[in-house]
Amino acid sequence: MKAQNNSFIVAATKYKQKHPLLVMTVLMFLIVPILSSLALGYEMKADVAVTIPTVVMDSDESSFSKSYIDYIDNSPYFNIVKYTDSYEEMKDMIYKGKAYVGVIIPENFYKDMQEGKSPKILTVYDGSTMAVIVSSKSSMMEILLTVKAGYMASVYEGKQSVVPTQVMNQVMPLDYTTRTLFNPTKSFRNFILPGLLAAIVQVAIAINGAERGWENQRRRLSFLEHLKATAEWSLIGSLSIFLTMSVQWFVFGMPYRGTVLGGILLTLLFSFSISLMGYIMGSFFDERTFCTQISSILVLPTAIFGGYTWPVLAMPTAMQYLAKAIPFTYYGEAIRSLCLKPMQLHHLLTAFIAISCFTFIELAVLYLIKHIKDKKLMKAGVMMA
Amino acid sequence: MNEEMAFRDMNFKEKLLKLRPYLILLFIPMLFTVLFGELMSPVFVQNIPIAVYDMDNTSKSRIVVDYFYDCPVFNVTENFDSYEAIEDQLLSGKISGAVIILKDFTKDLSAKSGAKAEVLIDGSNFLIGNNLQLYSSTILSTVNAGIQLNLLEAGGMVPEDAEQNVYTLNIADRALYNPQFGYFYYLFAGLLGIFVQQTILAVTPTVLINEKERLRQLPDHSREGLKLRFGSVSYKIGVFAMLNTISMLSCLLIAHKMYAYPINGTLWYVMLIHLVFLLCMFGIALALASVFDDATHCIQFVMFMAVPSFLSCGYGWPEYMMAPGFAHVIKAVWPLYYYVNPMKDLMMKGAGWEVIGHYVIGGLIFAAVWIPLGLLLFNRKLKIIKILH
Repeated sequence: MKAQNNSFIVAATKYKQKHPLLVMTVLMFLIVPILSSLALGYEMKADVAVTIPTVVMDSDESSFSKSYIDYIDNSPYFNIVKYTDSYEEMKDMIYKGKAYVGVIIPENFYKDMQEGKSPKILTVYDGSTMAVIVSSKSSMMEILLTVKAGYMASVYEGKQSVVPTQVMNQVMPLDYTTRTLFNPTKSFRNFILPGLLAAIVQVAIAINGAERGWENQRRRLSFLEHLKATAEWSLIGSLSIFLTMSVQWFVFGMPYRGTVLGGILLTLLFSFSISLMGYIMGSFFDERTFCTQISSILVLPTAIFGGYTWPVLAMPTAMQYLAKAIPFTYYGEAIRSLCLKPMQLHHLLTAFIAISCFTFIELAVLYLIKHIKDKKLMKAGVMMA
Repeated sequence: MNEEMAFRDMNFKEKLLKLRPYLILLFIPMLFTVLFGELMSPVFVQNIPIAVYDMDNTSKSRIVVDYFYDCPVFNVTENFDSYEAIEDQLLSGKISGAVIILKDFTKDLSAKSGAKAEVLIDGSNFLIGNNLQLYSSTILSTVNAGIQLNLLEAGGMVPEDAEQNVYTLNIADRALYNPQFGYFYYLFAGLLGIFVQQTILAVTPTVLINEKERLRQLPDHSREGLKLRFGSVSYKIGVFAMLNTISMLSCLLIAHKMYAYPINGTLWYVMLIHLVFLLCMFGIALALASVFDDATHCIQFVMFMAVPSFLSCGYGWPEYMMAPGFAHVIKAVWPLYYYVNPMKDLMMKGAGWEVIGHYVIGGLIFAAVWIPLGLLLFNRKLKIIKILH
């Protein structure tokens, strides 16, 4: 068995040494992105932050406070893990990560309410866990509005003698409805994964571009041949994005509602642009590892700089300009939107224009670098045929 | 003269190459701390572009619209004359939401038959969508409360009683550890973990891969060579660990001084978590060095791990929400979980041993398994490449 194992590892090592390009291509464009997509899709199977561990402190213990707690208990978003009578214990549970939300109904709450003293229900959140706050805050607000509407209905019926059929119009004189479009369940997976999976493949595209640029640095190739090399590899990058996303669409049921043609074209353009960026780095710097490092440093943080999670509009002005100069800003947003929104080709116009502009600038830079560097290398006599 | 210049230039480049790992370890995390800190420095999301389509266009409906204009969270545009136009702008992402006040708003209000309004929210971005929902609800509830006051008074209730009834049930929020829900506060410990992980893995496996190549060239049982270079490798990795620690502490200090990031935990615990993580990383570095024979390929692989490791370490998506079995696997194969989570608790909550203890023990077990495993893999690979050569 050991000998068999050894012979397998020897064979694998031999193969890897003989075909490093093939092995790295499969690893970077297939194995890592697809495994990441499978693993992350499975991890976030729950989609939304539900059953948030919640601790309740009901110091009122009236029928009203009990019905309020019932609303919380029946909500899919909350899971009451403990009823306590001490604020210290509540804080301790949040401190230890055993609960993320605490609800405090003060003593004499209902009595004060009837006497018009405007008592308040206090909701305590663990501010260090954003995904939980996002879900729990709006859900808690919805529960409060429902309970409040019920209470106001009783006021109108009791004190104002309004007939039951008219009550709701007076409780909600402005009858507003809120509709969350495109991601109504607030799925965290649909929000975070489309762009970040593309960001993983983006690293592979940039690194690969840098490798090819470095390999071709001292070869006597025409500009068109350089572009051909970049285009071929960017095609593989695009395929990798499609495969990675396909795992989400076909295995985990992530929607794709936008234009297919638009998605394909934009992915091809984006992949070419990122590949070119890597190629420029590989063509410019002499040291191979440094080309990889600089390309990675340029693309890795773009998932954050590009406003994928913290939106561009919330950034300071200077950072907004930086974000607008990054292709991922447009692609990340577009790929998420294509998954969630029924977009048509014309809705992608801004993304197409922005990434195209970026690509044209890259083409000019590559041309300049090749022009200058080739001359230098020819002079030094190190240019290969 | 030109040759001398070229020689100097070459010399400088060589020196820079030698210094590169140290520069990466020391300065890259600091640079990104400043950039990310600056990027997330505004605490609140403001100027969310929304459309207002006032189909009624009366003085009363304009009062509602004005509330939205007055709220700094929203950037209101009103150039819409159809529902389709709004939908189109929502699809292209030019607006993040819309408030539509339906026709006969004032008429329905006067007739007490429920004046209609609709709020549309682009739910594709969480942070924007939630802010929009929260603030639009607050505005419309305020408007509702005002109207209710008038209705109750009109029904014969004295103004004081009416006010008490309308404002009687309220909710007060309190976010422990992050009172303003600051995004940088929430994210920084996670980012710091990624900085530490990526920089240490960008340099350590390279040293081990070079060492593997040197050992390959040595005859078997050459103890002298082993002794000679073992010291040098340990020294290099020790220096890397030290620079990484200095850099981590500097990042914390920068975040604290420049962006008011809270530092509530004790320095000893910070150092303990960091040290345990470095041990874990050493195990991973050994495993990577045994798999890869080319340092550049190894670095390429490492660069890949940043995003998947961050998304799977229980930071953004808490452990209790993970699918069954996932947390066990991730804790066994990648150690970031043992760093970012206790670091966040330490910094934001000022956590003690009762909170971080299990992370430290888990990290130590990880290192205790992965370092011997890494050494085993490294030795085995060494034997194999010796056979092959």
